[in-house]
Amino acid sequence: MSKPINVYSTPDLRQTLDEALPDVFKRLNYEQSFKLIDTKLIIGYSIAVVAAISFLLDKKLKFEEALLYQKVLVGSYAILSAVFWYFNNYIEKGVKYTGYSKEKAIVVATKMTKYDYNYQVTLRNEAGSVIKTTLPANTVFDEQGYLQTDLLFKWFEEKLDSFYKKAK
Amino acid sequence: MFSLSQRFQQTSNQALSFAIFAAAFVVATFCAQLYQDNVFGLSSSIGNIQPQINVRTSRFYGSVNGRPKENLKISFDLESDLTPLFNWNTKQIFVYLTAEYNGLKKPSVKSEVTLWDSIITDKEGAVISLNNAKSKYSVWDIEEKLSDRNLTFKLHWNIQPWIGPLVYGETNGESPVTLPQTKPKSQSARTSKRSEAV
Amino acid sequence: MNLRLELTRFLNLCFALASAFMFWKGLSIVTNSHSPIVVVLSGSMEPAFQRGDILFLWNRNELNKVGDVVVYEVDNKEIPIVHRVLREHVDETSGKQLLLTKGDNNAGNDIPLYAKRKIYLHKEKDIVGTVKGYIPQLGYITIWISENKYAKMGLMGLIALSALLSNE
Repeated sequence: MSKPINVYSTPDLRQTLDEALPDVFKRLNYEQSFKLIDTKLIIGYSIAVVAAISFLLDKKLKFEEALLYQKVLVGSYAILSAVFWYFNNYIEKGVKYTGYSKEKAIVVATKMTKYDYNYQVTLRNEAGSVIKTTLPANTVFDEQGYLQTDLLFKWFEEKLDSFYKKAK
Repeated sequence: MFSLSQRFQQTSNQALSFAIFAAAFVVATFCAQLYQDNVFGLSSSIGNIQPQINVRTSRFYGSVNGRPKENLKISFDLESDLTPLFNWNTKQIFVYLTAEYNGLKKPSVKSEVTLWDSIITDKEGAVISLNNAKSKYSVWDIEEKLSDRNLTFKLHWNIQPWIGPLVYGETNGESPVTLPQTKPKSQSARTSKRSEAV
Repeated sequence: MNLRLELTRFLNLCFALASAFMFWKGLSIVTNSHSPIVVVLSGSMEPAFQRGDILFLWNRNELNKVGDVVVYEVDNKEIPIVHRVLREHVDETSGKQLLLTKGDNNAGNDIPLYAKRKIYLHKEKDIVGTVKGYIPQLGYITIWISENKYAKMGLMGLIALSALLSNE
């Protein structure tokens, strides 16, 4: 997390912030849940395995011999890709962190639009209440492009505080 | 590393979508142009067809193991104006004279053979007017004999585009010819077996 | 070291390679041809096709017509040949078709090119596809890549690099 990034690149900003979330919430005494990310990895790697089998068959067998297998493989590739797409857009929906502590749970979804340095954060707690808030990315990066993790931590701490006060 | 990869991906995505759009545009206007020029209704006249049958025993004239094979050559007249086939996307046209016929021993076998063809690369050459022209190819059938058949001659064309789809068509104006029966020669009498099965 | 993060990044690389390969396989299943897109390597069809031109093939047709430009393979020869059908003989009871081909730019027919003692091609067995579409010259890139070891490695490197560096 100590690499400087180009602060004018939105994807770089978002990726760095997303990847900093687990540490921030660890400091806030949350335990990370990997259910979503693991499901995504399993679907993703099954796609890769299907493509790899298809590639190997292509090398080992003649076109006619492999045709039936290839039809099945291309079909499964298409289906798995559709599942992956559905998972990204309708289940994960930009969720970058899921965590829980003793009595609390938190889901963090983030978004960033092109050419906009605002980091849009959606927080949802165990009761289902939702808060949408915006973090201007320039407030947590210094001029050299280093992420100020303390500032980020403080920002989330404040937001969570007010979130739980509001929710009660 | 100022988002070089992003720039690359963005550019290649844009290039790809532009290419797909451009391809669709070219194909659509090309086809529209062809229909507007009514190229699928062009006519030709094929006449004065003089068939000549020779018996050959060389491998290069279709003979298998030295068995005699009847070869057909023709002379013919041909008139056709193919200038509408030339438009902005025509690189060349390939024009070919074919004969269609049925098998003699096996009537279920349908055949089409090319006797003459030509590549035309400019509009000026697209008016075909041939007098007593000789066929370009010596044609044999899968059977030994080619005589005693009804042949239908047709002129076809193929547009090779600068870019896009290959377009095929045939001209109106068929010309039927019945090949004469050849007298069985001493050689061909003893070889009645089929040399090539379909 | 975050294993899930590394796995996610590596997955992007897999996706880049897998999607390219599976697109090709899908295309070859749809067209029923093991090489649905070919690059012209010889001048035997000039002036229609020149070295470096790209051809799009279709192989779902059961029969070919005289005048069709077909791509065929001869046993024990690596390079497919693109030539025009000069004659066709089809048995309507069995549906089997014999073809004789010739290059527009060649003086004689292809019998000397066929496998030993063969004087016809079999549509079903020998034909890789019928040419349907054409793009000039673009294939020189692939000729250059396939004939140049360093270009090949460079391209693979570039694909890998762009996948690793992309965040989207």
